[in-house]
Amino acid sequence: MTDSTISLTGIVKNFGRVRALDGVDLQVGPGQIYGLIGPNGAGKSTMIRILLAILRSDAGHATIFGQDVWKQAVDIHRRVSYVPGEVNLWPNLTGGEVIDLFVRLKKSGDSRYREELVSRFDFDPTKKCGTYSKGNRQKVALIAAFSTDADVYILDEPTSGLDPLMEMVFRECVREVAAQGKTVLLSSHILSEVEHLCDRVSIIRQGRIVDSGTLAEMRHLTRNQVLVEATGALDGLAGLDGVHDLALVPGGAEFHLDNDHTASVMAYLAQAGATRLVSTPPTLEELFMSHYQG
Amino acid sequence: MHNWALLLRVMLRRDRVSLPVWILSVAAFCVVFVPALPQVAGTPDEVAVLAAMMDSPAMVAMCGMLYGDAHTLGIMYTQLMIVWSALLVAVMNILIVVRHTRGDEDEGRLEVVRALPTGAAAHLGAVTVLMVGVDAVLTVLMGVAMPSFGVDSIDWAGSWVYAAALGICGLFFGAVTLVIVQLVHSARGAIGAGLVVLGGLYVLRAYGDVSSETAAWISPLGLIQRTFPFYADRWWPLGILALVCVILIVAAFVLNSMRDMGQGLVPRLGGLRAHAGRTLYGEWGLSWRLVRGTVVAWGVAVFLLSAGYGSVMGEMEGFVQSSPIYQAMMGVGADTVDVVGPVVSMLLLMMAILGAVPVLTTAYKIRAEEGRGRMEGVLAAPVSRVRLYGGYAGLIVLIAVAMQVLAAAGFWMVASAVMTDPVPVRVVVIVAFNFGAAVLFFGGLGLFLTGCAPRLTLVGWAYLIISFLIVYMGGLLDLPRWVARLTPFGLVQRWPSEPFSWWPWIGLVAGGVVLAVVGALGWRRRDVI
Ligand SMILES: Nc1ncnc2c1ncn2[C@@H]1O[C@H](COP(=O)(O)OP(=O)(O)OP(=O)(O)O)[C@@H](O)[C@H]1O
Ligand SMILES: [Mg+2]
Repeated sequence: MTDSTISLTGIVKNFGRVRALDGVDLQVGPGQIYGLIGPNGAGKSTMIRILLAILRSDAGHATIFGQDVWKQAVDIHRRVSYVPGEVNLWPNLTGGEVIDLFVRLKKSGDSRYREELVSRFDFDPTKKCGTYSKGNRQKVALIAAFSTDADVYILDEPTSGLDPLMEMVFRECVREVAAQGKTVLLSSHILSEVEHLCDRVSIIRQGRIVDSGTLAEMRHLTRNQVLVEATGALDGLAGLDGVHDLALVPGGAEFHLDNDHTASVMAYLAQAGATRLVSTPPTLEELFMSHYQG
Repeated sequence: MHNWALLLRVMLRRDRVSLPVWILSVAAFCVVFVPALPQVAGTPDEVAVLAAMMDSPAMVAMCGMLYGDAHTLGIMYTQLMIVWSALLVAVMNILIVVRHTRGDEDEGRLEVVRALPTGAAAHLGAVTVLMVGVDAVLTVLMGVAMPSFGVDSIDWAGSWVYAAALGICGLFFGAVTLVIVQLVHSARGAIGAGLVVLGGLYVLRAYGDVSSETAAWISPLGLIQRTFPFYADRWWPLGILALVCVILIVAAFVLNSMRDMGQGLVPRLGGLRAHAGRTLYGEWGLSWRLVRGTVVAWGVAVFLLSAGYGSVMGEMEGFVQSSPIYQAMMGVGADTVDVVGPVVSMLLLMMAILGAVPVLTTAYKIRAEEGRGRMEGVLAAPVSRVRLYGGYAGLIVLIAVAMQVLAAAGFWMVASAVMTDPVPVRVVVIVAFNFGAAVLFFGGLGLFLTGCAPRLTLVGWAYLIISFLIVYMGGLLDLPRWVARLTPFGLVQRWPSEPFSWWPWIGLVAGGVVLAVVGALGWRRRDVI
């Protein structure tokens, strides 16, 4: 997978005796909007910091644009925009000054677009950063990130502290860069955000990627909740492959069904005289809960 | 005032390491030379020579006056140490108060506390109690430690006056800081303002001790000496100072009730800038912006203090002419350079040590920015770590040079105006240049710690303070020369008393460069923390 825009293989990172990342593999293709989700302390921010050469991995290999993230950091950063998980700014500089500073560090800003973003995010750049609320500090980072030219956007919980209106503006911004074929890596706790924006998702837990794929694929690999009513007896379900958590109720049954055993179970139900069948795919929340809780 | 005791307990818990370290090291600084005194001033002759030197206007300006009718060890110790000890106690009080007031507010910790069922004044009350407690413990420690060395004339009664004077003086600066934090907007601003007050009162005392008794009384640093420990043991000046402390604390409570959290009563200057100015460009522009305030303020302070030291040179001249002991010490019939040269060297040495402070804070800037979580965003931009570090190294050289130039200029301008036979500018320049190597060395050391041992930055400060102690006391107490050579400021030759030598100078600068390069290698390889 040498054509991945972002690639991590076997990344390990220890903090003293704590193993924060334990062999992470991740490939993000060009133009993908890639979601990264996982419980607190799973290692999302650590992984992102390694990609940005803020932390140094203990083992493994990470590249962006095929270049080593540590050795060619400056080259890579010319084409990467980053919104940190925790935005800390200089209390004595104004928001506008900080935005300009970051755009200048990047040497590739578009000042007209900056003004547009400032008004879209409804942001007052004339105040000292020491007086901004959390959401406003977040806006500084977002405006600075989106008003510079980049090919890759790395966003670590970019909307924490934003109100719902601003969350919508943020989603528009992501869709715009996506439409230009840019790559986005988005870590988030807001599942609806991930569901709306991302093509692919990885779930990270205790320093390991426990599941990856498109949302459809991930759903596919899991079980549907099935509710059935039938005229005949359903006792035989207990003996079938792919049936879990079976609960027989008068005139029917409830159970979880592995997707790849659907055909054989349906055949059994048809023969048992099923009169009503409701099958619900897991909600995203359920999907994540099953992964988060292991 | 609900729950202040609970808040106090939280503070004590947070500082359970740093408070004992502060108190013990400050107490140690204040009493450590007591047992050394009899060795350097045991015989009446030694006492006479030391006293003659200490009675000179330069020494009086630098550390305080000599009082009483006999030069006992207790009196000489007071003159040598009480002002500098008070400065250290004051700095401790300023830092502790700011940490628990503005520092907490800046980092949003106080909001969490205010959400608890605590009264608005409870927090301020807890800080006040903490401050009083720290100074009380310090007073008791010193009061017990000083007489227990069994040094002649350092008795219990005098020691308690001495210790209480330091404790109450510390409390005064803590109380001043409590007022300051109500007015300003940030922890840094509060520390800066506290140090400005401290520096101003030091200069006022220096002026007062040399030429105006009233001025000396107005400065707490002058007032505490006028308790005359080990001579008259007067308590009443401390009563006055304690009363001032009470007034300041009440003022702080009143002001606190008038302001919102996170804001200061003095309106915020600036703001309203929607765009960055031209100087805020690139990583170097940012670095300069981050150190600019401290450096400019420190530069002004160095210039003024040095000018203040320069102003005593006129009196110094007259003193030398009328003091046979002093003349004998310096060599009779010597020219201006021989006679006042050592004084110039001593005063500019103090200025060089002060000049090392902004050098060290600049060297630690990367570390400080990391600690506040701001380095991450900068390094995620196309900023090379080496360029960033190199920028700070360049700034350090400029700051070191600027501090030495300001010290030399301030000193010479005033000294040459007040002396009948002015000390040649060449002498002042060479002395400042000579000590510049030690200042640069501290820059290298700071960069090394930043790059290779970012958690041990305190080591640099400790070394600077120890250097100060050794050099300051060593010069007066005849410590063996090799002891002074353990510090960068003692390693260079004490020109003009000693012949000038390039070797220590070059060695220090080269050592600083090597340390800086090793630090760069460490910084390039390590995690941002
Ligand atoms: N500088 C550090 N020193 C020590 N441990 C650290 C450090 N940074 C992170 N960790 C640990 O590494 C693990 C992963 O942390 P990380 O910040 O990457 O989690 P995260 O997935 O971003 O969590 P969150 O969703 O809360 O942001 C945690 O156990 C954390 O305590
Ligand atoms: Mg995180």
